[in-house]
Amino acid sequence: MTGNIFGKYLQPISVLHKKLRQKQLWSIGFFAAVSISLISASLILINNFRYVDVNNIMVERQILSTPVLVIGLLLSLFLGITASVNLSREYDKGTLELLLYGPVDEVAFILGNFWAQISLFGWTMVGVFIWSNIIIWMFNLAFDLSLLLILLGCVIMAVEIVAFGLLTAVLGGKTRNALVVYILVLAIFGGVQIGDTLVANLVLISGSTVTDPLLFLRNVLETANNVLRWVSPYAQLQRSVNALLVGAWPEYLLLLGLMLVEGSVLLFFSIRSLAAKGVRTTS
Amino acid sequence: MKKIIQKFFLVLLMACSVFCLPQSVYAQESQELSFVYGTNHYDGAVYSSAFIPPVVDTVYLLADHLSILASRLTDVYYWPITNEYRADWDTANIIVEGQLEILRGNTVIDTVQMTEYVIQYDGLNQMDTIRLYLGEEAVRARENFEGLQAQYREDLYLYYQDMNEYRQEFQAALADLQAGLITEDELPEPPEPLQDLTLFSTNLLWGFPINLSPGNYRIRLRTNDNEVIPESVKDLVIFEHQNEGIGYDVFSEERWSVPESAKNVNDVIYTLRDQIFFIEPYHQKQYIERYYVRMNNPQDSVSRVDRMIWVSHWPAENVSLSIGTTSGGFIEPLENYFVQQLAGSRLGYEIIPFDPETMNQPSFTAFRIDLQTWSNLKGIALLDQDGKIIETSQRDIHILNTDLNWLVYPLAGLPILLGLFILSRRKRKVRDVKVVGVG
Repeated sequence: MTGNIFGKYLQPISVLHKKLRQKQLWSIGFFAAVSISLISASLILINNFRYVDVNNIMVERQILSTPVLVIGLLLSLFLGITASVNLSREYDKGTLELLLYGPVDEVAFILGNFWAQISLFGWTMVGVFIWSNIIIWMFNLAFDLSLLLILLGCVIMAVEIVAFGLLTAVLGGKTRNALVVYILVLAIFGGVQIGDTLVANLVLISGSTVTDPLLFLRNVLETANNVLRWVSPYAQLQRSVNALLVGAWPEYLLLLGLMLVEGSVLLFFSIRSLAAKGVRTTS
Repeated sequence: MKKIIQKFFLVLLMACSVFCLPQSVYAQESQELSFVYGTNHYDGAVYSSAFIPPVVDTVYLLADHLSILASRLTDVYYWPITNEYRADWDTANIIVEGQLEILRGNTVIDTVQMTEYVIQYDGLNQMDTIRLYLGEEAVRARENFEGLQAQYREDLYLYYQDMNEYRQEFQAALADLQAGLITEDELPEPPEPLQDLTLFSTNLLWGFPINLSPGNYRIRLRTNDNEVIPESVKDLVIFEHQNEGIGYDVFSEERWSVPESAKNVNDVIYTLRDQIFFIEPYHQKQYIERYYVRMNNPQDSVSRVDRMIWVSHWPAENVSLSIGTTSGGFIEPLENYFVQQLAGSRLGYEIIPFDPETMNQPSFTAFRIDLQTWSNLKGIALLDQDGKIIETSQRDIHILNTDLNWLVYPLAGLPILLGLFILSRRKRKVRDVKVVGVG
């Protein structure tokens, strides 16, 4: 019985995932995204090195943590968009209807799409690990096993972002709608977090009780961030990395577990929504 | 009539000009007296004080250390420049008598009586000598301080008398010396200089001593008429530190006044080849930012409960530094250094070992690391008097090779080159397939 279920799902998931992954690897977009994320990470690294050149001393817990986070964030955003666009296009072109009349059902279709992006992301993280070690060797940086755990955190964040991309595609139907929802929601998450960080630090510069024109904004952003930090993948990853670097293992594991649960919930809703909505878009 | 109207407008204009002139004096209007708390709280190393105006609804204090809450009536005013409430203690500083009730939920778990207290410390070593005395002990400590003050005044008077006598004797002896009646060895000796009174003491003050375990409480003041003062009801958060350990301030010889802090045991110190840098060790504790900041500044509005801060409390003493290199371990002693400004209008300084014979006091106490001596440095750790490594004092040190900066960009471009290669191969394959198909 179990064998039948596996047989029923594994085969189509495997075929779909290979097909989609190959499609990604045959387009320049994915490689461009990897290069852009590596260049962004390199800029942050060089910024740190320049600081040492000027100051002679720099203290950092894990000099590669921010560059690796940036790589993970940019790539997961790219793969989330790709997952969303792939699925929406199947809707737009009507090929989804064709697929679901065959051996592929909603579960296999969503999981195949999901696994294609995640496996690609996972292999890219292996590449990032190699890149990190080359950087460590070139510049005599400190190697720390926390790097592997940061990369693991990035993979789990990608699970949540790709699952979210699939859900927006299912709910949005058309490619344009799906992209707008996907970008808008992630921009709000990122915007609130970045805004909160910037404003909180700006206020500190001018003293704690001094009249502060940003006080109201700061309080609003802090409140919003206090809510979003439990659902935003960026905030969760950043908090988990901070927890990791200070050795707060329970918090690190809790946040990773939370991201996995939220990713699973998003996947579940994607499958349920696809089953409930059907394969035809309403024009 | 016309003149009368002209005069009227002239007077009106003058009156307007007086009222419309910018007011250059700004003073807060006096208000009714308000109930406030003041604290003399232990901040992890010494005793500090804070003012808690009526708008602040939560008091923060450290757990398992004696702190004082004082209840007062005073004139509270708002100071817009710093956006905070202040007390005009000169106008009114009236002790509000009663009993302080400490509640957990709605249950009173303790009732604290008001008592006398005094805080005293030796100015030469505040951290080790600071002490808070309560009740009878406080009265005795204050009496002892006043006795020492009186004794010091008396000794000072005698010293100046001796000094005057010495000067007169010295002048006379100098005349004898010039006349050849005595030798230089027979000149009178000056009196022994008087040791300063370094003990500092507060006056005998009144307050409620608080020493609680961590948790959330409420406080209220019940007057001797058995009435609760509504403004005295506040939340009381008693907190403890989250972590403690050894922290370091690290600075290069060229930038001694801008140190970097290595507070976490996972922190790595990065530096460059051939540098000379200094490492200052200190004992530190980690607190929840909001709790610690608001204990010291109850009107703070920017600290957060989701952030932690390390607070360096006192410098590490009687320690040495274990330096790990690829060729073995070395031990470096803690030394005093003096920053000597160079003469002339051009800015400059040099850091030299402190010499107690010629210099007043050291600028800093630190370990000196010279990377020309230890070019293969790996890490450091602090050793106690018995030569054992102090927990949380280990730090890795890495010497960066920043000459290769430019290489990171070609490295980042490799994926796109790989993509172009795969794309061209794929195109070639597709073209070949077409050719074969057509053929």
